[in-house]
Amino acid sequence: MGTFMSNIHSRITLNEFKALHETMLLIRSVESTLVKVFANGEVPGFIHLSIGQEAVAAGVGCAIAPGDTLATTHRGHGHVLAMGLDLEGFFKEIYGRNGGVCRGRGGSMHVSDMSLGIIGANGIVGAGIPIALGSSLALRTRGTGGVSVALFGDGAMAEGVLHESMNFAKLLKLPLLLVCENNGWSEFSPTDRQFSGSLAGMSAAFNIPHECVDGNDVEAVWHACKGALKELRGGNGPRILECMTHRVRGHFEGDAQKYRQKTEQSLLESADPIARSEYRLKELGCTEDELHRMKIHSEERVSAALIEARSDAEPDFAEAFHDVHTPVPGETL
Amino acid sequence: MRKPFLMPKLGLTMTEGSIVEWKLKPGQAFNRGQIIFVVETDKSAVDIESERAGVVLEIVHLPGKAVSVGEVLGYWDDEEGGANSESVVEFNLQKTSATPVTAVDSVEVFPTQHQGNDIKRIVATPFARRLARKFNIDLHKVSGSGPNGRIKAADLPLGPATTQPTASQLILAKRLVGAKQNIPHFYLSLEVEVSELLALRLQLNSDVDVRVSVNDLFVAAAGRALLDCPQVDRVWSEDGIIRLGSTDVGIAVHSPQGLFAPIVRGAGRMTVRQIAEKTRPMLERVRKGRLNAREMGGGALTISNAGMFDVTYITPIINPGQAMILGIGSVREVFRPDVNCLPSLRREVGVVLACDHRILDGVAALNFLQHFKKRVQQPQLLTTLE
Amino acid sequence: MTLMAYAHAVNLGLMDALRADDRVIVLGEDVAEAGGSFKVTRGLLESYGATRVIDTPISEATIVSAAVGAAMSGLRPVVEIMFMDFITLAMDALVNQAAKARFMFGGKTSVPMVVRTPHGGGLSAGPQHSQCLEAWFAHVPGLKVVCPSTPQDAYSLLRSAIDDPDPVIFVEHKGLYGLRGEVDSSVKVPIGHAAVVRQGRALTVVSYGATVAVCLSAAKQLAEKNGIDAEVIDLRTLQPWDKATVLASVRKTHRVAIVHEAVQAFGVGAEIAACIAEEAFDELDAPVMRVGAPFMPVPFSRSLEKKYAVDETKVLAAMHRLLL
Repeated sequence: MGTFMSNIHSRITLNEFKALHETMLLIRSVESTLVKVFANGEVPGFIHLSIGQEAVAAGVGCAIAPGDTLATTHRGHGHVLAMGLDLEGFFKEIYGRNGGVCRGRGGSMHVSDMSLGIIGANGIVGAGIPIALGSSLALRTRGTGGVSVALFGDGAMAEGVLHESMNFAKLLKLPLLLVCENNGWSEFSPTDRQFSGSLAGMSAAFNIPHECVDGNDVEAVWHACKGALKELRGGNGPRILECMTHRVRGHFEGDAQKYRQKTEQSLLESADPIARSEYRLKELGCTEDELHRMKIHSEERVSAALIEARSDAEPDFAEAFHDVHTPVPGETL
Repeated sequence: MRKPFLMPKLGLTMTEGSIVEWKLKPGQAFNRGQIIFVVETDKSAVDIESERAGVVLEIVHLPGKAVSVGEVLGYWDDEEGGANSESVVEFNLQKTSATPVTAVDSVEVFPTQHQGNDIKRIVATPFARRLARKFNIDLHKVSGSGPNGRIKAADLPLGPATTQPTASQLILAKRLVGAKQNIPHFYLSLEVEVSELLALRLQLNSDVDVRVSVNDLFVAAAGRALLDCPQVDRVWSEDGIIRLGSTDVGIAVHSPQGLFAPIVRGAGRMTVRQIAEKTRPMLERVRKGRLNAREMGGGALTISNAGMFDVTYITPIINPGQAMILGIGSVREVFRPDVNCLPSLRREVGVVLACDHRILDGVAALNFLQHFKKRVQQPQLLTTLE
Repeated sequence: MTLMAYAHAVNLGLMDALRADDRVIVLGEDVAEAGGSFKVTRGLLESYGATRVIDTPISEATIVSAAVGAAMSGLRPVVEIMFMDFITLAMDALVNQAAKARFMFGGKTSVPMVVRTPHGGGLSAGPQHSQCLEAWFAHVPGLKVVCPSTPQDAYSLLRSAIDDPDPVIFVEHKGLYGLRGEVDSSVKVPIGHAAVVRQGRALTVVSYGATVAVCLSAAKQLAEKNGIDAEVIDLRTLQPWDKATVLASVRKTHRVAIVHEAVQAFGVGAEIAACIAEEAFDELDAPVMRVGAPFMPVPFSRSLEKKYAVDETKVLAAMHRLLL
């Protein structure tokens, strides 16, 4: 199994593992469905799918506690679903309908829900990182005990705000967890052609503890994340968790991925986090039948949500003006 | 070398005027002595001649609006070499405008001559159009005073409620308000017997060409009185009290163009005939609205003769820059007791002398008024120089 | 009511805001220990401590984004950008994040943050330390932009900005920091309200920031020398601007010029002029004028900068053109 280091600080119960697995199944089902409906032309704009990266999303999403905040990226469907985002609201947003979690104002790249602690999904590479930093500052100042997690891809390693944020978070010893989903690709270029350093090297430069895990091992991710969050709550300053994983689909749907080698294909199959998770669950006593039912259940949920989304109303244009500014008491629009 | 046309100071107290008309267009050459433009002040319209030959380059101010003395009105070239001379005047519209040079020049610098509008398209501001619609005014019949003949609201013949004062009305209003606010007026009045004066006039006019008017006689009397009382021939100014000693006397004249006050220079040292020779052509020019610069401004005293109307006394307003104004009412026949207490027919005018109390006290003013009265009542002396 | 300098009025505004609301924090480069490069934040650290008054590294992009995140998580951050020229480094944070968070996340969040920054030239600070960039932000839906011209407005508008639930760019003028004026801390100035600072009937001049005083001075000259009374309006807020007050004035005078220190081309004046031309067309008795800086970076040399600046002479020239 994992060829990377992973720290298992605590054991995992079967139910906890099942929860992780179900989360991954849901994400896989959603993303696979989107492949089809996008190809049909039903979905406007661009979508960036995270098939193959489910373990990171599930591991992080299930480790976070209520009161914590999370900032995600343009490839954030998995993250927000793992945080418990309403499935119908998710699909309605993808379709740009009135009932979407962002009321059709944002779309795929911005699917999020403040009430779950998701402080946004960003279309600007790396932009969520300093926002999460600010959130961690607020949580600490307010004394809530919460911490903030910023998810970003290896493509963001070259962004200046990451370096600035590492510096600033360390100076202020902020409770910020930076989680890098390293899938080896920065848009259409392999990351090693885009970034001359390494996240480990940068972390060392700023004296920030860096941990690397097998990003396709959901258990390892979950454990590592829980451990890191505990350290943050202790007030010891920021930490970095690098999850090595694989992106199966292109940068966006429609990307023919001509830049990728065909030899990568077999690697992707053997690294599939869901297959590995199934294997582990069986080790822990799950039956094939149970696993199958879990899969069907996800698919049914997705189908139902999709039907709702397709029939939901379009958002009202005049109402959109209400969201440009926050109304002040006594103000008429 | 490029040089500016500046708004000239045409009188001691002039602070602003307006251009009535540009006689030349940009590009036109002129000779020394040629009239370039005409300036209107509250007193009259004045032709401004060039001291040198040259070529008009640009027009900066168009007719109609008030412009301060010393401000640049336009530019000309004296056709001698040398770098462009920058005007030292504060306002220099062409140079300091922040807008791109092309935008400024193309609109304002070369005004078109035609005052009316072509049949095809009327150039009028939106506001003017709105007013024209509201008051049913045909814009084809209105001539515009804006740039390129643009019709502005002020050009419309609107009813009394919405008349905009002209530039010279505004200037005059400002001067009169200033006079009333800044000069502490006091007034003395007398009745003056004019039978002798009227008789003299008839006699003088019986034999020569230049007719002497009653007013000429009053001017002569006032001038002699100034000569008699040099201490009142003074004016108040910002720099101090200026002794004039010139015995200049102004005449308030009404014309269709407004109220003017041409000056008879040295009236105290002229005979009444000499005064008449001066005043007759001057009044002609006033009627045409064309006084020379020399004929305006200065003097300590103006006479405002309302004799042609039926009025007992008039109490006029001192012209800023002067110290007194003498208001003369119409001739009235009255009976007065003579030495034997018998009624005797007199011909009298009511005279009111308004004085600047900063310069004159009651005694000096009364003294002057008495001398004026004496001169009027002994008019023979006005026909010769003493 | 106290007489104080503009910088002091801002300082007082921050002090009073920090006291009134626990959620307010102040952050920026050298704002805490050093009290700010223009001393505007002097004394805040001593009074409120390092948890609430924070010195940041020189990382404009991150500190402004951090303010966005902090604002979305319950604080009311007031970030200082030392010179408005440096706001360019924080454009993503302001334009893509702060301005859009409420909208693109479906109206379920707000970003109650303030970015304070001094603009303006006249001090030979050179091309990268003298710019007036407020028009850029007025163009971004979701942002509010204010620019006070007096100490009183600086105090009152800052309090309003901090209380506002949306991101506000609070533009100060480095040359006005020493300007003294009366400040009454009980006076409230809402965002979006202009002030008619001089009444008149002949023409209207609309301005904001440091050029308001220039316009008043030009209006005084125009009255004294030509007997013409200009109405002068201080916008105070640029986004949203007080269109009602400006249009009412245009309906009265029929002639209007917009004056600002910023470059004229594509500036705040352009939007106002276009709105006037569209919505008050039938009231205009002269073309709408604008006075702004030429299309050039702010030059360093004193003589060059003097010619570059919007001064009384330029404002008077525009006023005279309105009267033609």
